[in-house]
Amino acid sequence: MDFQLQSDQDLIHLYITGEEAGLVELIRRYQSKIYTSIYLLVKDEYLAEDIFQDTFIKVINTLKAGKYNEEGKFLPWVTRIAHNLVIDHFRREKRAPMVSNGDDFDIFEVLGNYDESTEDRMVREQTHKDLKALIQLLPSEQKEVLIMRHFGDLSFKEIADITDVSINTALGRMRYALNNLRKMMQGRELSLKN
Amino acid sequence: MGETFTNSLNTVIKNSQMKDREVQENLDADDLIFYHSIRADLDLLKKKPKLHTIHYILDYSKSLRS
Repeated sequence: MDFQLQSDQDLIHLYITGEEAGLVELIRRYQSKIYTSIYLLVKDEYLAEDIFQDTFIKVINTLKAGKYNEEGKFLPWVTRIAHNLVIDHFRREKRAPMVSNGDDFDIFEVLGNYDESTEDRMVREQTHKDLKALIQLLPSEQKEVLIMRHFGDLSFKEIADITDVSINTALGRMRYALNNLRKMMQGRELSLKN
Repeated sequence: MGETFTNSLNTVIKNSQMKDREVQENLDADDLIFYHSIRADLDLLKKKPKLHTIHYILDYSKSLRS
């Protein structure tokens, strides 16, 4: 059976009925989106790993208990769990999130760009760092919407539900986030790919 | 039959327009253009969790079976 062709709902069904590969494929499909959403919110790699792990443990427990009922909406559901765990963490800590120096080495980035010139690579890495830094400068509600929209592929309706605001508020936050990013990029004369 | 066809066509057009509206979800044109201009760079920020985190999750799942 080619699990990559199965819908989320089918994979969930396979997993519940005893096929571990269903879970493996769901994690493979969404790990990057979910982990990046968490990481950009908490800004700490180790903490992001912990929250990612706790998120999927909740997912597993809910699926095993037969309590999952959000048909066809696996990613928004998991994103909501991750978001709640991030909020729980900040409530517990009652402090600003830790700042990571972000200089971790990723061999796949190097392997994937072996044909770049040194100058191109330096520009790309700088742009990457600048954009990440600018996102972190956004007010938390704006950052949250941008991250959920882009990395979580969530609609504004889903974001509104998760963050407990109206759709118009979620949309307004996205507009402010984009406007602020644009202004900051203009202020720093940062140009991106397009 | 002509009327049925027109009704069906109108429904298809209406659904398509609604989908377009949902995709844009009322972001202004300037916002959308800017958003699309940074999408590729946002994608560069994507990261994956470490392999041992995935293994821990899968081991946890398997442990519940036995």
